[in-house]
Amino acid sequence: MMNFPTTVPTEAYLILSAVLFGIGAMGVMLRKSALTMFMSVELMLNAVNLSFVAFARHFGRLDGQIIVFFVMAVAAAEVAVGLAIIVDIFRSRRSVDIDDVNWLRG
Amino acid sequence: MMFVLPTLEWWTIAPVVILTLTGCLVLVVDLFRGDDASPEPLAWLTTGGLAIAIGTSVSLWGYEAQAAFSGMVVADNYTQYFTVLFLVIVGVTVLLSFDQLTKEDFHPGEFYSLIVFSAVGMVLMASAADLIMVFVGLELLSICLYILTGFSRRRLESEEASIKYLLLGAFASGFLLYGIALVYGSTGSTNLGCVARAINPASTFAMFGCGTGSVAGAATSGLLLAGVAMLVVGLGFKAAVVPFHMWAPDVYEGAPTAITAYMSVGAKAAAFAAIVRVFMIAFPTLSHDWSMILAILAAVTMIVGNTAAVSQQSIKRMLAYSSIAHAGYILVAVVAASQVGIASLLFYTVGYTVMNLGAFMVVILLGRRSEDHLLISDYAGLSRRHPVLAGLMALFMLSLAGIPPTVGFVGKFYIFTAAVQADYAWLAVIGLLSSVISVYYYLRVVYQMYMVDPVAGVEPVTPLRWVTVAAGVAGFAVVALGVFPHGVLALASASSTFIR
Repeated sequence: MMNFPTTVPTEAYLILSAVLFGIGAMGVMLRKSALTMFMSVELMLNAVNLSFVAFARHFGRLDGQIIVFFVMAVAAAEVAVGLAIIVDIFRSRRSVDIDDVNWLRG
Repeated sequence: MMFVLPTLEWWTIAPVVILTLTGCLVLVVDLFRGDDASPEPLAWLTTGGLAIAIGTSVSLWGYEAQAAFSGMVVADNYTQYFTVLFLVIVGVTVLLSFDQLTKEDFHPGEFYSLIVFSAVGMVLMASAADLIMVFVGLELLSICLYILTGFSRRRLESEEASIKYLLLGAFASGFLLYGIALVYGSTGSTNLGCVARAINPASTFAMFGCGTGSVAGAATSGLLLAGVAMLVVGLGFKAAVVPFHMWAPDVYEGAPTAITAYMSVGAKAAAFAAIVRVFMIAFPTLSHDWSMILAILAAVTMIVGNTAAVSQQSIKRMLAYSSIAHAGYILVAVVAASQVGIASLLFYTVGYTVMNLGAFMVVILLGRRSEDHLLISDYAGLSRRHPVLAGLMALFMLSLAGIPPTVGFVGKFYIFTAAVQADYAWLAVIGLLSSVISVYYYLRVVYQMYMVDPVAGVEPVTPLRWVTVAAGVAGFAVVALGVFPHGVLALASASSTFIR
């Protein structure tokens, strides 16, 4: 009979969180669609949330979990504004490809 | 089981409460007005709320520092100093945007409430005693600025600046948040005082509301240093420090000019207010780790900002690169990490605000009809078309370049003195050399105004009365602060006593 570990160690959560954050960061840097970039940013924020919860559980404290609520509220506000701006861009240019949005230099 | 309800010291955040109510009131009043009603009553309402908030903030000056809301915010002289500065900046922005608001058919209720809410974010950043408060304040400021940047929806540049700012800003705040998580993981707290005590048990920042209980974690260096590095990325982005400055020129060029003026002084000052709190309170014992990183960033920022500004044709882009260079000068004061350094930072922030806002006032007066006349060559012969404006612009340019007897010179003098005292003489030398480069591009504007003949057929400048008055006041302040800096410097010293 196999012995499964009864609890997942904190390090496992942290590694998963770092990997998710990395995937999100690569997504922002490599993808061309504004929508995908925006989703990647949300992935980064949620990866950090996982870290907060894991640390809070590790310390046996609640404050880390409460921080997650703040982050979720902020992320929701950011999504609302971000999608509005992306829709506005799409209306005027019929595209959300970031390469088409290049009136300004740099 | 008994719950002890936390005490709420509302008076410590009285300016924030007043500003929030003002923003909500503007929104509600706007609902009951017709679509084409004049924005003037709302502008007065906003200004009134700002004036009350400034008065409240001034009346809180001089009290002993007190942490409130379970160590989330702290009310001390530093908070009040920045609060008054931010609110004056917002007031000036309301004045500067009025003309564009009526001409470009902006929706005034949304515009004014967003700008007031962004001020709430800035004030929270300056009063934060907890990393999470820094994050919430920064996001409140940023989200409002994303919308304000894209406010002139008819211009494609404005939309584009908005989406660029949003994507890069959200990206950077992800790094800031990960930094906070790593600091929390290695020290067991996000309160600035508690973080300091977890790193070094001898440090006591009682006024940041850490309490006397034990601190959960023992600082593990690798995780902590990674967290500090991520905080540098996140906060450095907001302050437009090289190499996190890519967004600044595009966003500054695309945004409505009044908002560009607001971002270049307000958001930057708020970012530095938070940087000083975080690095001076939470990580003083790590200063040998971060001060060298910040010193290199400051040097690169000054060099890149000043050299890139030389080749710009648009005055807004030139001022964008110039504001990056000024972020470098201000960062030198953070690197000095002494009370003198922070006092000089506070002084320079005020000086930079006055001269940069002044320069943008002239830009707005000249390019008022839907964002034109924004090339440096459009300033040709301005001294003959409108001598007063040309004189003021020349004054602001000389001050930005740091030529005596202006506030730009005095501010740089204090910052570089603090750097030399803190054994960063090489940084002061780089600062001086790079500001020599800056003289070239600032004087190019002066040269255009006084030495080049005006282009035939240019329409005469018809300045707006109140903006011209404001530019005159700014010009007076640039010289007055340059000759008599002691008043503001005394306030700055009294605001930096929390650093030991």
